[in-house]
Amino acid sequence: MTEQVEIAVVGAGPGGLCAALAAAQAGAQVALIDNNRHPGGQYYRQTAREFRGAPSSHQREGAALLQQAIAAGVRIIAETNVWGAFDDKVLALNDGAATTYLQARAIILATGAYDRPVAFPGWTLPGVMTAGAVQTLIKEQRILAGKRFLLAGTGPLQLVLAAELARAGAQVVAVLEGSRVFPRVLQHAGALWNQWERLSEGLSSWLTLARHRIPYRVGWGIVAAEGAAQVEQATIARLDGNWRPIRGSEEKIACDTIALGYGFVPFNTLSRLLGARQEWRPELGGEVPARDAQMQTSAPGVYAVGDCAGIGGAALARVEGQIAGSAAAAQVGHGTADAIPARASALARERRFQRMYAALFTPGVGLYELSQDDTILCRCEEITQAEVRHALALGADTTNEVKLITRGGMGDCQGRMCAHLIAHFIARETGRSVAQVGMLPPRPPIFPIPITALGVTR
Amino acid sequence: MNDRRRISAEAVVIGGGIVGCASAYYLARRGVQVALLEKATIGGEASGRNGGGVRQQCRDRRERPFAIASVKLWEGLQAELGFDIEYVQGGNIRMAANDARMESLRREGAEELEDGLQVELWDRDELRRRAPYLGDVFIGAKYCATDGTANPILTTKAFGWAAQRLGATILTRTEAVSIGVEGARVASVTGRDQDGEIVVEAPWVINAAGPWSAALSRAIGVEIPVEPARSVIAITQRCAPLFREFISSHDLGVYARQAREGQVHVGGTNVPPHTFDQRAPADVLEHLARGAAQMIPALRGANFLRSWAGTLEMTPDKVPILGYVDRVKGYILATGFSGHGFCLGPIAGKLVSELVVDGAPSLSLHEVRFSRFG
Amino acid sequence: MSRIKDSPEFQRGAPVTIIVDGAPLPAFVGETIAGALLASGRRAWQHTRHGQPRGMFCGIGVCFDCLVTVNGASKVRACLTPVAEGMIVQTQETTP
Repeated sequence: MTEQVEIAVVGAGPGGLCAALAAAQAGAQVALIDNNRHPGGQYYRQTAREFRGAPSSHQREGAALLQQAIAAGVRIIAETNVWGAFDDKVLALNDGAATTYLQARAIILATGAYDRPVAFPGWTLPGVMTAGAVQTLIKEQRILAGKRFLLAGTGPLQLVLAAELARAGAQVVAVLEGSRVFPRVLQHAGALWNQWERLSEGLSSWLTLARHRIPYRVGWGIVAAEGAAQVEQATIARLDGNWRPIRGSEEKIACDTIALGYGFVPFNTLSRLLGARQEWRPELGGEVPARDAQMQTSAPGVYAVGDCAGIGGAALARVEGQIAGSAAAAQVGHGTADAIPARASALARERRFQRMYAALFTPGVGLYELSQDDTILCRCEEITQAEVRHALALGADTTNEVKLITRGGMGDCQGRMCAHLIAHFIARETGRSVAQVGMLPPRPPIFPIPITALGVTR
Repeated sequence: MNDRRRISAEAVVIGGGIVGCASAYYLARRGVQVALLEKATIGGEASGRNGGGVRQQCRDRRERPFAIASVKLWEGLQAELGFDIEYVQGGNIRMAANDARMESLRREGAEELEDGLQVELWDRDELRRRAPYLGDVFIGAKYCATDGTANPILTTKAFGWAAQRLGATILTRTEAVSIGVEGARVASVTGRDQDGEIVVEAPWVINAAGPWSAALSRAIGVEIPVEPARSVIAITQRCAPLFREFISSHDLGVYARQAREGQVHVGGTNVPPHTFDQRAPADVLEHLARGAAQMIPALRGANFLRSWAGTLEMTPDKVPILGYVDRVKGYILATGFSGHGFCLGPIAGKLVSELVVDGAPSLSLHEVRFSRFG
Repeated sequence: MSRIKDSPEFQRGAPVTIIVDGAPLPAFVGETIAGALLASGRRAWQHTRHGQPRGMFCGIGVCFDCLVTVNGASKVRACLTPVAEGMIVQTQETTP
C-alpha cells in the first residue's frame, strides 16, 4: 500500500530537521523519516530517552528543533529504514516488521555521512573503532568504549571527543592530527570571521586537553594496530605533506582503543538510487550529487542537503535544509522560494568555512597507502589487498569489476566500508583517477531487510 | 584520435557474454585468430546476472539435446578453464504444488527419459525425505541429478580469460556499431571505444550480442526477432548450508539456489516485462520475498541483502537462434537464448567454432535455425 | 569499557538483565546490546569465517561488524538494538 505525502524528508539530523520545518512552515504536508531511536542525527545525538540528566547545549538545540518541527505539523516516522527508492518518487520504508511505501511529490535527502574507514595493518582488531562510535556511545549511553584511548585523525572534532573522554574519566594517550594545520590555518583565517561559536568550542576543548596534559601531535598519524585478541598498542609515525609516514619516525604507543576520526564519507546511496548525477569531489568527502542553488539534484524534485551532499557540518546543513525546504514547498505549491535570497549570506559564510575546513583537513593520499598486501580491505568478506591486486592482474580496473571477481564489496555493509579503500588502491595501481575507477552502484535493499517484512505490507 | 584503427582476424565475435566468450574460447582452441568486441565488461550483463542454474530438465524438446551436450562440457569446464567457477552438480528439483502441475511434470519426465535424460519423479513423501527444507505446499517434484549450478560471473570471465590465453583479442569497452558486408559476405565489424573507431576485418562475424543483437543486425537487413526482458534476482545474507539443489516452482513463481558462500539467490519464473530498464521494482522484490519464504520456510528468519536485474533476450518461441544466415555468408547468429544462455553457453560456443572451422556442426541446428521465423 | 560516573542528578534507565550466551548480563534500559557488552568489558562478540574476532567498529549501523542473534533472529546489529529484560543474545559465528 502506498501513502501519499507532499514532501518526504529522509534523515532527522540538522539538515533534515531544518528542511522539514521550513517546508511545513510554508504550508506543505511533510513526513520526516529517520532510522534512529532518537531523531537528531549524529550532531544532535540525544541521550537515551530512558535516561535522566542534563542534556548538552547541542542536545537541547536538537530537541527544540524537533519540537518546533512537530508543532509545525511535521509527521515524524522514527526507527524506520528507507531501503529503496523507486520511480515516481516512491520510497520504500521498513520498520523491521513490515514494508510501507511513501510517494512524495518532492524528496529531500538529508542522510548524513559516516566516519571514513581507513585500512592499515591491524585495523580489524577489536578496539579499533571510529571516532563516531566512541562518541555515540558517550552521548547516547554514557558508556566508554575503552580505557586508554588513542585518537588518530584530523580536524577539530577530535579535540571535542578528546575533551569529552577526559571529562568522562578516560585516559587519552594522545591525539594525532594528520594535517600540518598550524602553518596553514592563518592563510584561511578570513573564513573564521563570524564563527565565534565554533572558535569558542574549539578553544574550550583545547583547554580541557591542556588541563589533562593530553599530547596533541600535529603531523602525526596511525600506521598500525597490534595485539593478540584486541588492540594492545599502536604504531604511529610522523607524516609528510601527503600524509605518508616518514620512515624512521615510528613510535609505539600503548592503548586499548584507537578512535579513527579521518573525516566523513557522504551517504549518497539514495540520491544515486533516485538517479541523481554524481560527482567525485574529494574535498567534499567523495562521491556527491550535483545540485543547483536550491539544493535540487539532477533528478527533478529530489533535493539533497547537508553532509550527504558534501561534508560541511551542522551549520551548513541547517542553512541548506532551510533553502531546500522552502524550495521544495514552493515546488509543490506552497509559498514562494523568496526565503532563499535571505539565506544567501548565511550560506556563503558556511560555504567559506566549508572550503577552509576542506583545505585544512582533507586527508592526503598517504592515508590510503597504509594497507599492506595481507591487510583486509573489505571487512565483511575479509578480502585482502593481495586479492584485489590479483583481480587487477586479471584485467579488472574498476571498483565494480573487482567486486565481481573478489566479492570485495558484496558483504553485509554493501560496500560502504570498503568501496573507497578499494577504489583508491585500484587508482594507485592502475594510474587511473578514483573518479574513473568509480564507486559501487546501489543495489536495493540498501540495508538488509527481513524477508518476512518485505513480503508483508501494511 | 579520428584516424580509424584497423586490425584483422579470422573471426570476430560481438558480445562478451557467456555465448560470445565461449565462442571466442572454442574458436581460439581450434587455432582461429579471433577478436571479441564487448561494449562494457566481460560478463557484465545477463551472463553475469542470472540465477546460475545449469539445467537439462524442463526444457523445450528442441533445446534439450543442446542442454544435455552442454552439461557434458560443463563437467570438464573447471579443469579446462583453469579457474574455480564453483560448478556443482547438486541436482535440480522442479516442484509441483497441484495435481495439474504434477501431471505435466510426469508427461515431461516420460519425454525426457525417451530423449536419454535421467530424471526421477518424487511423490510427496519422497520430496519430504529428499528435500526436507522445502515448504509443505508441494505435493511432488521432478528431479534431475546431473543438473547443477555455477557462479555466472566467474564462469563467463573464466571463458574470456581462457580465450585470451589462447591468443584471442578481447576488446572491452568497445561497442560494435556496424557490421560491414562486401558482396554477399561479411567483411568487418566496426567498434567504438574511448579513442574512436576500430575496424576489425574478418570473413566471419558471430553475433552473440543478446538483447543488443537485433539493432546491430537490422542495419544489414537481417531482422532478428528478439525482445529485451528484465529478470530480477534478490539474495539473502549468508545463511548456514541449507540445500545444494537448484530448486524452482512455477506455482509460486520463484526459483532459488544457495551459493557456495551461503547466500541464497532467489529469482522469478514469471514472464518478464519487455524492457531494457535494469532497475528492480518493489513489487518484484516483494514477490520474490513471499515466494522464497513459502518455498523455503527457514528463510523466514533471513534478510534480503541486495538485488539486481539483468536483460534477457526473448525469441517468440523461447528457443535460441544458432546457425548461419542464408543471405549473408560468414554471418553466424548465436542469440535469442531466452534466459537459457548460461547453461547453453558452452555448447553454443563449441558449435559456433564448428560452423567456422568444420562447416558442419556436431549437433543438428535444424530446430534452432534462424529461418524458422520465415 | 565502563559506564561513565556522572553527577547524581544523572540516572540511567531501569536495571534489566539480558542473557548473553546463557549467562546473565546486567544492563540498563536505554542502552544498546553493544553498549552493555562494552560496559562489561567485552570487546569482541563475533567471529568471522576466518576466525577473526570482531566487535563494534562504526557504532552507527553501517559496518555490520557487531552482529548478534537476538531472541532467535540472526544478524541483528548490536549497536542499534536496545536491551530489554530477559532478551536472549547469542554472539555468533559468521555462517557458514
